[in-house]
Amino acid sequence: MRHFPSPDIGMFGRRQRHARAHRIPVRIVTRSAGALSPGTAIVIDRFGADDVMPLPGSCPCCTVRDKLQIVLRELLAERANQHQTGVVIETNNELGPILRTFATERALGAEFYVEDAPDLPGADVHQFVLTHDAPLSWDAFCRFMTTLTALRGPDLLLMKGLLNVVGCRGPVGVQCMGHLAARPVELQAWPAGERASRLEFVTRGFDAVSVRAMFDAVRALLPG
Amino acid sequence: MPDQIEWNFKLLAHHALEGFGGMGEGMSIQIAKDGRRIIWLAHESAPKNFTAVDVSDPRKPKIVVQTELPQAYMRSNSLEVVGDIMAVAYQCQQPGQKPAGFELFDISVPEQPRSIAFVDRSGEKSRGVHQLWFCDGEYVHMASGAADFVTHNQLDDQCYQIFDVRNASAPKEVGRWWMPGTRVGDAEPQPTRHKSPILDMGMRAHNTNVYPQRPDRCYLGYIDAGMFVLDISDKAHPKPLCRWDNSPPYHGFTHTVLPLFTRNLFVVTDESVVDDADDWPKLVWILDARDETNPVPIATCPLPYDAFAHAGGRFGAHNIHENVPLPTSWQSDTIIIGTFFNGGLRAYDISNPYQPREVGTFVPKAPPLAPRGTIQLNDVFVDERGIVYTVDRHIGGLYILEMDF
Repeated sequence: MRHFPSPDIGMFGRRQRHARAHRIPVRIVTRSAGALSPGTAIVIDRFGADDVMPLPGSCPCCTVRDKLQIVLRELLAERANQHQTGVVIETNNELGPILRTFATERALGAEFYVEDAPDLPGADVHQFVLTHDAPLSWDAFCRFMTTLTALRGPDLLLMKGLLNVVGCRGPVGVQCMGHLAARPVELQAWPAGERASRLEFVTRGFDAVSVRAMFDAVRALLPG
Repeated sequence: MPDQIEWNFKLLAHHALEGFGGMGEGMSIQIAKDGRRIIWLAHESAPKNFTAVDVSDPRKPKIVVQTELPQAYMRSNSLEVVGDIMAVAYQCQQPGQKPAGFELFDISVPEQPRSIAFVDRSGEKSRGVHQLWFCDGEYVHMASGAADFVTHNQLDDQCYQIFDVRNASAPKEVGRWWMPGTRVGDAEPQPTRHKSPILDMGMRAHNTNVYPQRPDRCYLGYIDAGMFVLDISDKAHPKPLCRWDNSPPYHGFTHTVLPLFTRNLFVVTDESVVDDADDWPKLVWILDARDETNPVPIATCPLPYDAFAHAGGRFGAHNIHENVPLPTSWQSDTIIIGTFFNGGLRAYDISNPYQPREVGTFVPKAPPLAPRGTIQLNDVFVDERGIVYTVDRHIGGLYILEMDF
C-alpha cells in the first residue's frame, strides 16, 4: 500500500505462512468422500457435463463451472451461521473446469484453495518438473509464462510451484491453468535447505525439452 | 449461532483455572529465571486476584499460583509484567471503598508473589484503578480515580495518570490529564453526555498505551469522549494533540487505541457493554493516521451481527492484541486479533487497510454454567512464538491456540 507500508508486505502482498493463506481448503474426489471432519461441507456435483461456461471476459477455452460455482458462493454467504473449515467436492465430471473455477480471484480463488485433487487424466499428458537454481527476476518469469500461454495456453493443463524471485524474502507460490493465473503468494520463509525454483507442469502435446528451451531463450533476453 | 467455530485457529489447550475462570483484561508473559514461560492473568471479579499459568508447553498449561483479593467488592481486572515486576490494578465497586489503587509485586519466585508497594488511589469519589499499562519498567500509565479528583458526574471518575515507579518501593505521581469540563472546578463547560441510561457510560480514561517508538505520546481511549493522542513529552503536563469521537451517531465506550507506527495507522476499538447487542454497533475501526492531529476513519472490521447479536450476552468489539513493546509479545502491523464476547476471537488481515478481511475465527462452545449461555471472550494476548491466549469473561478460563493463516 502506497501510504501504509509494512515490513510484512512484499511484492505480492502480505507474506503468508503457507500457500493456502486463510482460504478454505477444498478436496476434490471422484469416489465417495467417506467420513468428514466437523465443519467440512460436502458438495455432490450432480450438475452434469453441460454445467460449464467461459469465465466472463476470458477466452473460450477457459471454461469454469456454473451451477457448482453458485453452490460454493452460497456456502460463503452462509458462513456466519454455518461456518465451513473445509469443502469436499464429489464429482464424476471433467476436472479442468472445476479446477479453473478456483484458479483466479475473479472466480473463487480469493476464498477457496484446492489442496487435493485427482491427477488430470489423458493418454498424451506430459508431466515434468522444471528447476532453476539462481534467483529469477519476476519480469523474466512473466515474460516466459506470457510466451508459453500465448503459444500453448489451451494445452497447459496445470503449472504450479515455488519460485526464488529476486527481491523476495520467501518463496513465491505460483499456479497457472491454461490462460488463467492465480494471484502469486509470497511465503514467509523457505523450507529448510531449499532455495531453488521448482515448477511442476502437466501439459498436452509438448514436453520438458521444449519448455526448458523456451525458458532459457526468454531469460537470455532479460537480465536475471 | 454455531456451537463451535475453529477456523484457521487450532485449539491447543483449555484450562478452566480451577473453576475461577472469569477473567479480566490483564494478560502478560514472564520468562522466569528457571526458564519457565508463565502467563499472568487478572480476574474480572472477586474472589480471585490473579492467576499464573505455566505455558512453557502450550498444550499442557499448569497453574503456578492463584491469589485472593482481600475484599469481595474489589476487582483486579488489569495487570502488566516487566521482568520480575508485576503491576496489578485494583478497582472497587463503589466510590469511597478501600483498598483501591495499584500494587507492585516481585514475582522472581512465581509461586510466591511478594508485594513491594501499594499505591492508594482511593477517595470519596474514587473507585481506584481500572486499567494500567506498564512496559518500560519505569512508568505506570493508568486509568484511575484519586482522592483529589472530583468530577461533576460520577461516571467520569477515572482520568489518565502517570506514576514514576523507578523506585519501585516508593512510586510517585508525575502527571495526569482529564477531559476538560468533567472535573469540578474546570473553567470549560461540561461536555454533552450520551443518552441515558444504557448509552451514558462516562467520559473517563480506559486504555493508556505508550510505546518506545513514540515515548512522547499516549494513545488514550476515553470511553464516551472518543480517543485522544496526548503529547506527554512533559509528563507533568500532558497536552491533547487530537480527539476523534465516533459518537453520536455511534454509541461510545472507546476502549483501545493501537498505533501501527510503520504504517501510519491507528486501530481503535469500542467495547460492547450491553447484552443482546443493544448498544450495537461496537466495532474495530481503522484510522488513517498520517497526520496524527487529524485521524480519519477509513474502514471497520466486519462482524456477523445477525448470527450472534441475540445469541446471549454481549456481542461486539472489546480488546485486541496491542503489540505490547516487550520481547515476549508478538508484533504485527498487518494482522489484528480481537475478542468479541459471544462472537469469539477473530483475526483480520489489514494489509489493505481500506478492506479488512477476516482470516481466522475461534468461537468455543459455551462453557458449563455460562451465565449467558454463551462464551464471552474478553481479552487476547499473543506471545512472540505466535501462540494465542484468550480468556472468557465469566467462567470459561484460558484457551490457548495456534494461528494457521
